[in-house]
Amino acid sequence: MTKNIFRLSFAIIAALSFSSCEDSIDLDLGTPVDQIVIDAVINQTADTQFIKITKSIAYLDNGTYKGYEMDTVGILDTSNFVFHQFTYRGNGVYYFVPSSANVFKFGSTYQLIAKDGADTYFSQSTLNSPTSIDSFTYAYKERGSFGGPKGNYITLWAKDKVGKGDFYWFKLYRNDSLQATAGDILIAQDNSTTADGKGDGDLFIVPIRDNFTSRPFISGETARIEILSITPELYYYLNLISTQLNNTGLFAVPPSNIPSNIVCVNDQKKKVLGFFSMAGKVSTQKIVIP
Amino acid sequence: MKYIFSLLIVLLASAGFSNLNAQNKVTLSGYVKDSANGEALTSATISVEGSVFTSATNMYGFYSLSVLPGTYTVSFSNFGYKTEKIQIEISSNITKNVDLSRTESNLKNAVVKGKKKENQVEKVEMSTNNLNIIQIKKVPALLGEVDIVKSVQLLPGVSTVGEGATGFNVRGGSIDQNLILLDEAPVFNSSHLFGFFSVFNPDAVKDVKLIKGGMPAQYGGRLSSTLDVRMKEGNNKKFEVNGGVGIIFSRLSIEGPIAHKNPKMKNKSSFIVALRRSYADALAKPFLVNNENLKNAIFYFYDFTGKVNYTFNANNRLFLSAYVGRDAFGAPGAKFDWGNKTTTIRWNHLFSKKIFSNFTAYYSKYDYQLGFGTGKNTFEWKSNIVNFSVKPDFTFYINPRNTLQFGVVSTYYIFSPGQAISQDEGSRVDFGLPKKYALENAIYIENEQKVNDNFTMRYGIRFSSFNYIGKGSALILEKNNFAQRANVVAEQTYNAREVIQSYNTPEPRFSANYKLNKLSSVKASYNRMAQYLHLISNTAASVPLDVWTPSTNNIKPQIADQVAIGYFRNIGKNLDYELSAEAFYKTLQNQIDYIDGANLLLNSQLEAELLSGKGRAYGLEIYAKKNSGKLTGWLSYTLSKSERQVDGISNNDWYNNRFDRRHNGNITASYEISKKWSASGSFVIGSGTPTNLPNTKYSFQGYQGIPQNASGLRNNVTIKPFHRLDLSATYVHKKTAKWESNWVFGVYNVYKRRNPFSYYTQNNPDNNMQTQLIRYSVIGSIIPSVSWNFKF
Repeated sequence: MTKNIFRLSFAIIAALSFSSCEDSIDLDLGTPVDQIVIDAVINQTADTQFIKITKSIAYLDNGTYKGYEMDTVGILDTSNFVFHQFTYRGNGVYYFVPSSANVFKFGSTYQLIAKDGADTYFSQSTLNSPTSIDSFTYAYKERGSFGGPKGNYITLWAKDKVGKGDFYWFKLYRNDSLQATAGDILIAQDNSTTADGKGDGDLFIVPIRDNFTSRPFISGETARIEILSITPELYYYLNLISTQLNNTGLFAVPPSNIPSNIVCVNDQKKKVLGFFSMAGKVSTQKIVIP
Repeated sequence: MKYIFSLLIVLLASAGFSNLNAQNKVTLSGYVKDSANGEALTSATISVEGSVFTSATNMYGFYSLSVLPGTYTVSFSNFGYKTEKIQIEISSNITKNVDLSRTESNLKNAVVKGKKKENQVEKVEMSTNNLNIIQIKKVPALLGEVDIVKSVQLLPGVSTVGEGATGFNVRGGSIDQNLILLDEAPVFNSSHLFGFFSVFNPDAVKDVKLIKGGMPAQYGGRLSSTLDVRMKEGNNKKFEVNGGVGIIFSRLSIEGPIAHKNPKMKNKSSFIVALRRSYADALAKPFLVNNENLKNAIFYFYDFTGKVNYTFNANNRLFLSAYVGRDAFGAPGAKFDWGNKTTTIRWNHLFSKKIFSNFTAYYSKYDYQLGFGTGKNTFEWKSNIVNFSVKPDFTFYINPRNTLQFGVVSTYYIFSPGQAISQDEGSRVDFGLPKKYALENAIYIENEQKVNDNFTMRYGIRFSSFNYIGKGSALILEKNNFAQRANVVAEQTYNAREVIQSYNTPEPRFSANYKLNKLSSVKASYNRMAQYLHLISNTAASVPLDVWTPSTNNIKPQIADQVAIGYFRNIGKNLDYELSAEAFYKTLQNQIDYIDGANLLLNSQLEAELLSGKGRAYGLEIYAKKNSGKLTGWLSYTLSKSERQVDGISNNDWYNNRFDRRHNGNITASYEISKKWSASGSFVIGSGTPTNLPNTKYSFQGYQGIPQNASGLRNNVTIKPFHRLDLSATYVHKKTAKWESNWVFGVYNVYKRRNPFSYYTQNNPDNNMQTQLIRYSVIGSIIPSVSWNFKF
């Protein structure tokens, strides 16, 4: 939110023709090293679960990420030592179809195991139960938060789970497509964004509950929100992604690498990117904006 | 350290106390003032013909000199003033107040003639630049607005991360390592409009002194520099009005004597009030009508400066000064404003002709608030730092060879790192942070000793002590891995005024000047500085939201040790040119850095996200200045390096600081063309600062273009060099004894250079699947300006 304030202030200064300018340039950023990226967030629903493994590419290369095939990829349930193997589908995508919901159980600990030749990649996460949703509304507003244009804005009425130290990730789908620009990452710690535990069990505060989009919905579009109860580690990971993707302008902080929670067991020095986490998922109804 | 201590004690003990009763000397003392307006003249030189001893006036225009009884010709001189030679019979202690008149040439009053007796070759001070307001006014300025901080940025050893950045960096130090004083009260944020303009109104400023090294013991609390801004006292002879109208803001100041018609009050009291306000909001309004986001935007800043003084008698004088400044930004549903307030009361008292004292009490506050939301849904956030201080300082003019300064300072701080309240539909959540309290005390003593005709030393010590006190709590942390957030093991609470943590630091100070001949000297200095306050900021440029925090049980005080050597030479018939070359080496301890992704605002466990490292900076500064004649100005070049080493960052190796500029130079010149016209120009050039950029990217859960610096090195890319030419011309429209007015025409960034302020990466706003590297230039085109100034 401070970023928004800065943006606004700077829009004002720019409008004063202080003539600040942003030019897209080309620069030698050094030789890139491609690194393995493992992207795995698994929930308790009966939906098909995915793990994606790719390689990083040069920053200014606007081509696509190349998928990477490993020998074995799957999730081990530490409560019963059942290994759920994921099947490779191409383009770096591995999938698993649960026989029913709650194959992955709340409170249990799961391990990601990915074998690539001599290398074994490993991580571990606990599955937290989701919160519940009261209601999901929309309203026409003359102005969005932070000066957004007029249109239909949505509000999510949901409460934090009772007990300190719950972490959430809100995903907005517009016409069934995840809103995934830098400004769309919305996460919460209890009902706000701080660790103090104040407001535990309360409704998510403003601006979390109504900050889903800076682009209002137009007539005929659909909207749906998923709330994932995530681990604190994934919360900090997403927070870092948000910081890095929004790190622009006069007040940019030094970009920093985002540490992964996945390690190469046989060679700790081998860097791997991405993250593994279990997440309890709850979803709103899909609403159609009239 | 112990050795330095013992040496100091021996030196101080011998500081001429043996001379005290040597001969029955008598004392000549008094004040030196400007004859036109009664302003005290600082650093004016008093020399006794036939004697090698000289004295200089202090910040309040006071001098004291001991001689053997006799009749002497005493000369009083000051830069830009006619020298007065007066024959004085000194048989007993005598007070002699002298008014000097300006050497007004037929051209502008800016042309300064006359010898400058007290020059850099004689003084023991080094790494110091004095700028008077006349010089500052000649520097071409952005939008024609005379700017003290921007002028300071042109001095050797001073740099900035970029155009429009708040504050300045001195000798490889960060911006919070500068102690910025306005009439002795610290100013915590020196910028209006995020850094485009400084908070000081030039019409109310008398002079500015920047000390980068060889720090006198009376100053402390910041590692890298002291910027001492002194306000005018106000004309005590007649009323005077100064003002100006520019593109961004207007200025008006009024000064004059108080009740001067009453003979008892003559020359006893004066005041000055000065006000500036921007009106860009009003001017911009027509252009913003069609901009949906900005048509109801609010943006303005103002500042008020006021000062009054009263002379009770020859031994007592009182000053009261105040400053209030504020910036405000907003739009419907959002507001953001910040500002400084300071108040200083000073009492000058002469205990004897040899002991001058000043008692200062000040109050200083910096605060900001921001809020957004409308109706019942709002979010408000406030933060501030407040301090109160009491500070008696004494100068004992022991004998012509020794001047002893000593004093005490005690400062109480209240930090309010963030009060934040979210309200919606009747529910109210307060997630603010508790206040923090601290008490800082220091005691100092320092002697300036003329060992012989050619050798002068200044040596002293400051002993500072900092107490982080309750009511509050201390986090007990356990570091597992330097690069990551520390674990909070426990939280211990303390009652009001209970000491949570205290630190004591002895800070030795030493400077020496050896005159090689009348025209040249070599100087050397060493100082240790301690800093107990830290600005928590990890942006390239500091922002008004940055929060000051005290040293705590987890945050250790910053310490710097600096040595500097220099060669100083005057050349030219009238000693018109001053040349100097200085080299410095500085080490810094307990420099604050941040874990990756640290959350600096409203974070009750901020201390767990801080890292601590060490720094070093070294460099060479060359400075040439021409003070008089039709052409005046300076040339400055700095070659320096500033590095940092923090466990957990950049593979634990040394890396270049964000504000490291290898080469940094400028030429600033002003030329009097005729009675009516004068022209000024400034050209700045420097290498780019290092920055951190990713070289690869990846995606996660649909989020594209997540940057990764696979080299793992901090500040791995250097930004391209910057250079810029600014020009201005002044036309004196009318000048009589009663009315003066001039027009200043300026062109900033003459050849339209887009100097990079920073580089950053982003996903292409038009195509989220693509990424791009952006060069951000704060100023990307020519900025012309015109302003009109008047005085009557």
